[in-house]
Amino acid sequence: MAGIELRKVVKNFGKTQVIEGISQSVPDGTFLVIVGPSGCGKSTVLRLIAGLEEVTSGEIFIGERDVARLEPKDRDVAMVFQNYALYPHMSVRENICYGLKVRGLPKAEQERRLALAADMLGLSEYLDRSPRQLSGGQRQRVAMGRAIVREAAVFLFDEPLSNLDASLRNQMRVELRRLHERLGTTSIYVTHDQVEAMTLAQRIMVMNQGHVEQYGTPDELYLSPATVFTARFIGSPNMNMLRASLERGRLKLPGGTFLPPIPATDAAFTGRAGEILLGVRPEDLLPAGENAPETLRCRVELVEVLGADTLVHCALPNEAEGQEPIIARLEGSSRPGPGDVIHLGIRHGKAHLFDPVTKKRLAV
Amino acid sequence: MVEHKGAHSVISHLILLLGALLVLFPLYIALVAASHPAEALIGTTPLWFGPRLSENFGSVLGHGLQAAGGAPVWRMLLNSTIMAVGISLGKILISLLSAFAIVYFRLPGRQICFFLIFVTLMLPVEIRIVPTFEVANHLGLINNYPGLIFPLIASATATFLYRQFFLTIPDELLEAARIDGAGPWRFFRDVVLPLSRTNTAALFVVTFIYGWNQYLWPLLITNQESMYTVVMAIQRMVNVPDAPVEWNLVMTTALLGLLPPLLVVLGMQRLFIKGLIETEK
Ligand SMILES: Nc1ncnc2c1ncn2[C@@H]1O[C@H](COP(=O)(O)OP(=O)(O)O)[C@@H](O)[C@H]1O
Ligand SMILES: [Mg+2]
Repeated sequence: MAGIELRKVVKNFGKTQVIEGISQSVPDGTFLVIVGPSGCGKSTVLRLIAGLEEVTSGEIFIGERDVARLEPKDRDVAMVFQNYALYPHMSVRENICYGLKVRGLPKAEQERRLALAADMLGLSEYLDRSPRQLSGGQRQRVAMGRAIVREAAVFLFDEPLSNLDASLRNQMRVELRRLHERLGTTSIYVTHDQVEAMTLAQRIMVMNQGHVEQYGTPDELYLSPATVFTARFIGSPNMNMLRASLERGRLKLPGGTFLPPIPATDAAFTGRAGEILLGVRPEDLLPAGENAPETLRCRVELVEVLGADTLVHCALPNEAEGQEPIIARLEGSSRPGPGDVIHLGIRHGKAHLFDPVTKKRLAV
Repeated sequence: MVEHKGAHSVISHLILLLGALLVLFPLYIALVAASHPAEALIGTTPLWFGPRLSENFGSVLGHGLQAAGGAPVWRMLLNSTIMAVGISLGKILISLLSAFAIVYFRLPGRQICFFLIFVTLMLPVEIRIVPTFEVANHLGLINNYPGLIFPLIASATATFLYRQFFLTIPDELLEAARIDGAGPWRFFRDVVLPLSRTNTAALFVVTFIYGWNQYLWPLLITNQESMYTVVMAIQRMVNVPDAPVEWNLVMTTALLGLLPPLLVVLGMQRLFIKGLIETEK
């Protein structure tokens, strides 16, 4: 087992820079999830660590060694692919043991590890089947078995669950967590699904267009997103982002309401004025009394009933350009209908403020 | 509806039967001719079997045709088999390796190599026969098996087929193998080769028949009876000087010459079907 450290890793494909100098370290035993929209370079980072792509510049440390210029087989990594990448002509047993066979491990040791992994993954009955005869979930387990028996220092997963249906995906997610708790191997898991990221990760690295937007625990990302991108990417539905302004040290909302500083952000804005981005998560919007001064007054356009709570899509009148969309997640049974006018307040201390130019979180 | 279907199936069976008869009729005539003494075939074509089937086969296999040089046909069958198998294996080996190199290695000039291989499609044996003979002659390839085999084993078609097949093997399989620690040879042996099994079987059939049917090249490169192939021998039996053509023996030889390709087709057919059933769903 070993930690991983990336130092100024850059990757160009031809003239286009796909990874723009990432430096990040992953402590030993961490389950790190790399999340970001499609095409942001997640897979590329993973493949650079695996050695399937060569870095343009920079260093990659696994443990104490700089592996950036080693062959994949010499890096002590195991990888699980999205399409499983099982050898179609080999049985489950042969698939799992192939890496050990190539490395010339004694037969008895191969059998021991195979039995252990098969037991862990519930594959013992299927060892003599061919991959063709397995369901998607079973194939994915075989792919994991292949990684487990290697007893490698690092596990790499590239969207391993995205070919499975939703219920199986949830089940495999739980199994993956258990597996990690049991083995404690440093793991890097790539996904574009922020729910998967939040539920699996000990650490999350949010990527956007080849750079790291934020690195932290799921709670850190959720509670204090460092950039507008992270704020909107993490959480479902997306965080509402309203164009507000600062006047006389107070936050003025698009509708013209002033928010008192305390309920909004616990901060004073002395010395700052002008445009500002105000982020509020749908669950941090609360129904408020009609006559309370510091509320958002908006018209309901669409109501989605989720059971435990309700998503209310509203339009917030805006002084300059008409309306801004805003989504609130309301608890309980008080359910407005389309066309109603409702008043929403912001939960104490749950407003996120961002600089409209740099898109960075304002340290308040 | 059912009646219509019945009539339909009767008609299609009749057509199939007619086709089969059409194909089998010459073979039947050959078999009948092979069962008569030579005199019975002069000027007529008998339609029913004569008494000498086994004698004819025995004499052709054992002694050959005295008037045409006299090498026994078993020897020619052996020569043909060695040549055809050699050509097939050679073609398959060379094509596998060159396609593997073209698909999996980023070597400089890879596209040019592929293009050059492809261009050879335009140069079959018949066109390059004079220079090829000259080269073979200088290399001492006259009257031996290497001479029969080597000049015929380069194959653009087979290389192209393997290339196309390799391109359908998912990249992730290669990547998984690399992470599993397999080098190029290991990957070739453990993954590419087994996955190409059915393609290889098909190519073996096609190239075996190609090799077996070679006529012009063996005619040029051999001048001793002991190196003659069946296909050229049949032609020589028909062109005997100063003697009547012994059609019964020619037909016998022709039938013997048909047998090995038939066996190869039938033998490989089973692998084809197995391959078809086993393909990914
Ligand atoms: N082999 C390649 N050659 C050229 N461009 C590539 C290659 N692989 C990936 N890219 C580009 O790099 C960017 C990041 O790709 P990738 O890491 O696969 O994104 P994702 O985050 O969806 O996994 C994409 O714009 C993609 O087009
Ligand atoms: Mg990807």
